[in-house]
Amino acid sequence: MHDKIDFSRLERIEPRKGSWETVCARLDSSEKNKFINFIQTRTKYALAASFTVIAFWTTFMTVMLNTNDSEDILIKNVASDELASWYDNLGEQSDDELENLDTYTSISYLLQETK
Amino acid sequence: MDEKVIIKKIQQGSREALGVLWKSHSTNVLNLAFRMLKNRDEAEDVLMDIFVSVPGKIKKFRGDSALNTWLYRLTVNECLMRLRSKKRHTELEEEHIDLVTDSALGSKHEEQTDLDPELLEIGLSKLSAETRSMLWLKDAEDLGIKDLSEIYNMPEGTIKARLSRARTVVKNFLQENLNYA
Repeated sequence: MHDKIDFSRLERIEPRKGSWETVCARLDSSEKNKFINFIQTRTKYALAASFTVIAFWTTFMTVMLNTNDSEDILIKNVASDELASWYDNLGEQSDDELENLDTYTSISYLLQETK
Repeated sequence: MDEKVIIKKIQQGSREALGVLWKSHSTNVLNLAFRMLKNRDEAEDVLMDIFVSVPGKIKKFRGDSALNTWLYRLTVNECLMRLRSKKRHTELEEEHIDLVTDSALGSKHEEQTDLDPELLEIGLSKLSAETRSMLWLKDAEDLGIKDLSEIYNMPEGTIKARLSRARTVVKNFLQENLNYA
């Protein structure tokens, strides 16, 4: 094409010696950084997982202890109710021997006791 | 090594395949960056940045375009990003180039056999970095309009118009300066 600009007399430069080595070194460096970042990320995930497990364990243990405490209280409450009930019912049962004694026998018994 | 094999191997992390790519394309990438940035050190930085980024970026490369087209696109984008970040993009804007009428195209077909390289450099500096790189890829690297359209993500018509205008700007500059010399 006759319309072209003739660039043939312009300087055509070549890459400097060592440029390729620099490229390789930079690539190696970025690969190392990638590896370090990978390890750092993994470490972060491992730490996060450990914290999560510890948090869950702590929460679980706390809940369990609280549950045990509440069971103790319930037992006490039950025991307390039973005791109260037992005390309330004392002397009101039909098998009370004193109730079965007639008046005469009772007076004789009391006289014997006072002697 | 076949281009598809190179792509596949680089995607798998082969340093050897990247080395093959370096041998075949590093000079082209460097010269394109040098044409755009007009600075040897920065062009070298761009070259290295591009090749360091290749193993990561090639994973998304679907192979729709040729490998050199893809590399040129990366290079153009990287250079434009650098130019924008440095706010050094104070060259002739495309709007100004648009003022050059298409009627002037092809009116002067002077011989360029004794072209002064320094004068050509100055003439090229009248263009924006993007247009300069476009002209370089077309006239020095012999890329097709279709490839340029892919690299710059522009319609082929726009590429053709820009190239014509760019050539006119450069040729007019050379003509004026040769006349005064």
